[in-house]
Formats: sequence, C-alpha cells, structure tokens
Amino acid sequence: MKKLDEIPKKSIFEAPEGYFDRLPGIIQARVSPLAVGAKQGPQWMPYFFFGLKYALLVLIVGAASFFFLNNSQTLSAEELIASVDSAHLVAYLEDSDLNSDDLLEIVPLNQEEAEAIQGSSIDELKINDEDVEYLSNEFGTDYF
Amino acid sequence: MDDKELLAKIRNPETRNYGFNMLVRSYQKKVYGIVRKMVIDHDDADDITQEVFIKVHKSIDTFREDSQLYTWIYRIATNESLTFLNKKRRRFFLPIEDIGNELAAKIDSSSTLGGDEIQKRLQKALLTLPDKQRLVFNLKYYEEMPYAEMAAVTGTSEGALKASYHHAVKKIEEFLKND
Repeated sequence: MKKLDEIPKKSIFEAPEGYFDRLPGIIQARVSPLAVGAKQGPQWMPYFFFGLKYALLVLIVGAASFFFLNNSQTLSAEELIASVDSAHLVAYLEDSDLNSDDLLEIVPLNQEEAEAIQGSSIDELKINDEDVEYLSNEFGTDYF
Repeated sequence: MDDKELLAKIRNPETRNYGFNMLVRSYQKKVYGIVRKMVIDHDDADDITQEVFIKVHKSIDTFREDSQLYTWIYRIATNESLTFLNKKRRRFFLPIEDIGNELAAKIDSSSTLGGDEIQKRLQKALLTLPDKQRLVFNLKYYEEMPYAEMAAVTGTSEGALKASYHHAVKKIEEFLKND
C-alpha cells in the first residue's frame, strides 16, 4: 500500500456554501452587549435573587419557630383531663353508657390496686350512721 | 490587517466591534479547519468554532502579548476540540475505538465531504490514533505548522511532538498497508 507521501495532500472537509459569510454575523450577534444583556436578564435580577434567598431563610425560620412554639404549648392527655372540672367529669360519666365494670376495664391497674378494690367492703368505708340511713332510704336496703 | 492592528482596534471601545469582526474573518477558516478535522461533523465543528470566538471575545482584554495572537486562538480551538471529544466519550462511556468508529461512519455519510477514496481512507486511519496524537498529526501534516509553534499551541515540548508525529505516520502507513 502507499506511503503517506505518495498520497496527495488535500483536506476533504468542506463547509456548507456561504457558511463563512454568515459566521461572523452569528458570532457578533452572540457577543454583542444586547445579546449578553438579554441572556443575563435585567440588571436588578441579581439583587432580586440575593434578597429572595434571605427572605426565604427568614420565612423558613419563622415557620419553624411558629410550629415549635405551638408544639411546646400542647398539653398531654392526662394534663387535659386534669384541667377539666370534676363536676363536668361526673356529669359526663353519668350521661355516658359506661358502667363501673367498663371503667375498671379501661383504667390500667396494677396488682396491688386491683386487690385493694376487690378486697374493699362496706365496713372499710368510713361512713357514719346518718349517711347509712340516708343511703338506705334512698336506694333501699338490699345492699346493706 | 496584522494581529497588532487587530488588537489595537479591539481594545479601542469605538472600534471594538469592527476589530473583533475582522479578527473572526481573519481566523474563522483556520479555526474551523482545525476543529472540523478533529470532530469530523460539521454541526459539531460549527458549535465549537462559535464557542472558540466567544471565548476569545471574553478573554481578549486579558490576553498578554507575550505569545502570538494566532497561537493563543489555536490553543483555545484545540483545547475546545479535545474537551468536546472527552465529554462525548464520558457521556456515552465509550472507549476510543467506538468514538473512532462513530466518526468513521460520519466520513462515509457526510454530505460536506470532498476528496477521493484514498483521502477518506487516510482520515479513517487517523481516527485509530489517540486524540492528542491525531491533533499533532493534523497540525503538522495539514496545517504545516512548525514544531516550535505547535509546542506553543499544545503546551508540549518539540521533542515529544516530533516523536508523536513520527509514531503517528508509522501507524497510519501500517493501517493503510493492512487495510
């Protein structure tokens, strides 16, 4: 096969017709101040984004503070119940369908508390005679 | 208009646009030629050529005249071409042979290619070389650039360039012999 110097030296790459007439205009349009300005946007744009960055930061910190403070004021279920007046609680329990057995099932009791409730009798209650008589008149004597 | 006059016109705000336009007209064919031989495809060469002149425009005020204007412009053109090929290879995770095959296919299909069969075979042989060696071959063989100028453009020593060109010629002749 041929040596390199036996091959006629000729570049095979051709540009499309009129390419070099158009190219300076295309490049000039891309580097003109108007084109550069249009590409970069208005002059106030950098300041706007600079301000926006800090405004977003303030907004996020504000929102986080709001939620944090609100959460710190939230009361637990026990605290909420404790804050309800006893009279309201009694009224609620009387109106509800719950009986004492239901309540005992709901309330978690340890062994000691359960035995104390089971072992309690009317004798252990410190009720004076007047109260016994009142209860007897009110509810009958079946329980006494 | 020589390079000094071009630079003087560009540095004068009143004649800046005119000076830059003249610079593009003076160097566009050379820059396009160097780039096109590296990337083969006209559209890619067009994009890169425009980028080269935009970079020249951006940096012309900081250009120090301790090097020649044309070696500076050619350096930007060769760097942009090599960067383009590296990006292309990285983007598709392609080895050098596959990029070579893709570019060789463009040699067969491009409508903006002249030359006869032997010149197309020479181009395909060139595509088997590493990009940097192909660049060295193109600058020496097609542009007939002296080694000293090539050293300024590529940032490689003259000795290394001579060795690279010598090896490139041997590989190309081997390819043509076996093809």
